Amino acid sequence: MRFVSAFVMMLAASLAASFAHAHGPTRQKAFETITIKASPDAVWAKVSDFTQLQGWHPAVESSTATNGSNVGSVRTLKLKGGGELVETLESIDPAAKKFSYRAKDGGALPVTNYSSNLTVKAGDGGTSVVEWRGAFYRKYMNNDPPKGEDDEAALTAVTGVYKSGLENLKKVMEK
Amino acid sequence: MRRFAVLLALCAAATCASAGPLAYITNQGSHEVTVVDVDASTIVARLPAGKSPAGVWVSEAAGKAFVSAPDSATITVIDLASRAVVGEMKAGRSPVGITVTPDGRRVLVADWFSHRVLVFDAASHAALGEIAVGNAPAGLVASPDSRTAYVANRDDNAVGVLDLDAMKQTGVIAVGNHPFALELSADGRTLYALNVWSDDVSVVDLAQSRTVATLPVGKAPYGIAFSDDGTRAYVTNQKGDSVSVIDTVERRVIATWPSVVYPEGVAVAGTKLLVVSWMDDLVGVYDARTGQSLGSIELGRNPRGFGRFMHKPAAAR
Repeated sequence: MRFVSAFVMMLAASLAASFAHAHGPTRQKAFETITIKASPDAVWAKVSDFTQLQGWHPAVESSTATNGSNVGSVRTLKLKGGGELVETLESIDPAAKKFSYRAKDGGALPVTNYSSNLTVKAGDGGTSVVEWRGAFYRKYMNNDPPKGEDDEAALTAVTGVYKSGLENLKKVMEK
Repeated sequence: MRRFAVLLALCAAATCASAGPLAYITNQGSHEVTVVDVDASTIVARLPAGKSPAGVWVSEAAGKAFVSAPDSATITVIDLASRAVVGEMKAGRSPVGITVTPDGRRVLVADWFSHRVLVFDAASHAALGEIAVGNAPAGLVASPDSRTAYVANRDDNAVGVLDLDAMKQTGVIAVGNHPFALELSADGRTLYALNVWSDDVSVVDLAQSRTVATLPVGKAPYGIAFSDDGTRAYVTNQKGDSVSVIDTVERRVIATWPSVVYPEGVAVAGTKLLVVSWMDDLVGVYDARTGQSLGSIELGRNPRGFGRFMHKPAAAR
């Protein structure tokens, strides 16, 4: 009995220790922007359809969404080469040409508690400036993350998604 | 009157140019505090502050600013007169929330993981003890008489009431979902808790020890500051990219202004409102009466400014 209770106490202590570091990492961010030779209205029409990311992001094969481009809609993105991302539309503001979405679990991305927003602004001479921002924690929420689940891996992955997406959006819109 | 004359004389002698308000803003990504001269719109000092500094509290009574750095588990002490780092304290495992009692004598630090508030001597920097509190303690503020403190026990959806003489949590007051930042009215009677998950502000009447109003604001309220006369509270909405303006007398939101992206820390310096943008590494400056943008000042990386970060030298008030 005494042995058992000592074991339980040890277990509790180790659980407490691992829980204690559950919020150890600090929040990271990614920010990418691109100028596109197309009107803000045209670019917004393209990017604001929450159900059609496959229409401009080269990494997305197909997607489904539970409620179109309405707040609360949950889209599941199937990626080329495998993997999924599940994202919830958190806000959409056509007047400001801005929407935001979040993912509790990074899915195919090595991140946790991911939130993102995309904004279309008017640039010089009838162009558009698209800004894509993300805030997230790395995948490994304890201390001493393994390679691939650390801050750098999270940052590289999200930055890669934004860069490749914006570059292809530019191609699609300037065709 | 006499004190005022002495200050004027001092001002004329040497320090008039730097007597305006100074913002001590933590930059979590570049591990430093940037000291911003608000009137000149420029950074006048960059001070190393442990690893990933987040919380900050400027105490004119102590003549110091205290900065919490969760990743190095340290508190950096900055002297306000010389704007130099004068000390460092080891502080638990992950210090985030921080405050100084209004008498300038004690520093309180919320140790996020160990569910304790650590107490330090503001003059000697010695550890004085610790107080067991609720789960995931975050924002802290002390009463005007420096004998009571309040802590946002985030994961309990409650505020803990701390007796600083007995060194005990003596009560809890239920607030909204996931309270992070706290502020207290100058008269010490009304506490404001910002609830990150319920997107509202709990207004707590401390005489009754209960929430008497819940004010819906924008998404993820994160930082709060009062106007100099206390009639307005400015709340940053981290995921709304906006500032909610609360009339503290009528207890209602009277305006919502667009702001910098991912706003966190906020402070008032006279007619100026400063809003820290974590995302864009800058502080936006606004007219505190109208919300009109007056420009911005670049900071370090991933700035937070969690706490009272504005130093208003006496001559500038």
